[in-house]
Amino acid sequence: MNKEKISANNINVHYGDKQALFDINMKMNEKEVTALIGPSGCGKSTFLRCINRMNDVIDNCKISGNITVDGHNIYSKDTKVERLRENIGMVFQKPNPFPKSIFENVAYGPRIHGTALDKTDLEEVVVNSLKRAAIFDEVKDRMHESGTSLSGGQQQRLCIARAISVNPEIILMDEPCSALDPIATAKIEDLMGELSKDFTIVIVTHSMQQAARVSKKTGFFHMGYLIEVGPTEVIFSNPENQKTQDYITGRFG
Amino acid sequence: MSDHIVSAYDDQLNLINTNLIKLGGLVESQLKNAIKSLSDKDTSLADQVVNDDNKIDDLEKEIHELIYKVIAMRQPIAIDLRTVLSAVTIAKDLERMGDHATNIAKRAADLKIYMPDSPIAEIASMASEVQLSITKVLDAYVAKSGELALEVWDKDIVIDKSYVTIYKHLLRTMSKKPETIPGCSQLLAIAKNIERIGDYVQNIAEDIHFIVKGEVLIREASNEDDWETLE
Repeated sequence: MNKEKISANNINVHYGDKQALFDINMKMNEKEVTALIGPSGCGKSTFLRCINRMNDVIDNCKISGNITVDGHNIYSKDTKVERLRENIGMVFQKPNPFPKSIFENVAYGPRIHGTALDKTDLEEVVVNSLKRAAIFDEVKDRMHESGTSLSGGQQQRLCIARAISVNPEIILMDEPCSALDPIATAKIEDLMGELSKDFTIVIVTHSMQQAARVSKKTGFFHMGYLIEVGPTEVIFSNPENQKTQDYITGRFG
Repeated sequence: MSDHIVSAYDDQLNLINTNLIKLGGLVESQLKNAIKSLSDKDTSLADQVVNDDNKIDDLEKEIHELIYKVIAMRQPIAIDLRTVLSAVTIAKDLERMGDHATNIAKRAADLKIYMPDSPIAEIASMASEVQLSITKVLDAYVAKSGELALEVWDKDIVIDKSYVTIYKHLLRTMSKKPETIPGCSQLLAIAKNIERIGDYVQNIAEDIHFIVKGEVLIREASNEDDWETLE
């Protein structure tokens, strides 16, 4: 088993008076895909957003507990949030390329973070990122066309290329395939397998089959609680908790 | 267990379930009639058993088609997956049990051969033990009871012992009265058929355990069959 990369310890999240997460304790391993499943409103996306402190920007959101990445508490005062988000990329449900060229979409991160040395280096980073996101061959002759001109599946892979262009260690994916057709979904899933060799991936998905296909570890959330977490093959073949079993077999939702 | 959100899924699973129980019922009556035809020397009943075997074969095929459909349409997982996977093997095992009942009936119908009465009585008694196990294993399936399934599983040793006793008895008879060899050989094969049916019952018990517990049953049978002391 790979070593532990992310550890959430007693995470409680409130949106105003409403508590969204209750005492979440969960560990995610390095260079592995971890899936978070559960019905809408169960807190899985809230939990995902705690990992790169996206919830910070929500006014009435209060978080207690801590999350460590490589043992460092990302909620400590000395954490630089910009640096944290450079290290933890995110891919959203709806592909959201910038209304810029394909090249600029991927060059944007390295440019603002100043990680590319010069123009040649920047070009190399862009090409490499597109290659790693398995979209380079499809866009190599149209790098200066708008990112938004691509198909949904291509846009999502472009967003993945953009996320990995700043060389993060962790990629968070919030239902990355829910807007895509089965073929585009299969391409993203295949890509996830490839990317997990280099990145730690945490994915929120409504597709149980997807969680079963792509992840090594699965956590099942329900009404703000982490009901069960374990090896994916156990969660989908013989889960311990009755609620998990009822959910994955389609008995409530 | 609560129902699926998609009720058509439950309908499909229930249909598989009721057909399996129906198949079990057919096998029960086939074995009963096969043994009765042997005890009563009733050749027409034996013929009926042989003819009715195709009902079992047809129902097994029907169950397989239903399972194939539900897997293709619903992609069952966890307990649902174990249920349908086990249904495949349970249906197959029941079908094989039916074949053994047919084989008993075929041998029983051969009245030209003289068969001594006393081993027939022993065989009938062994068969009623197996009958009881079939009934119990079907009850365990309906109730999804891992405990009842284990009880049935453990019972197989009793059936195996009866078989060894009958085997020895028949061997003794054959060596003392060589003229009984043709009939005793038939009875030996009949006893073996019953013993094999008992093994399939044990397989079904294992499947039920797998459905309920989600793990393969690992259980050591105490093997005390004393084949060495055959006289």
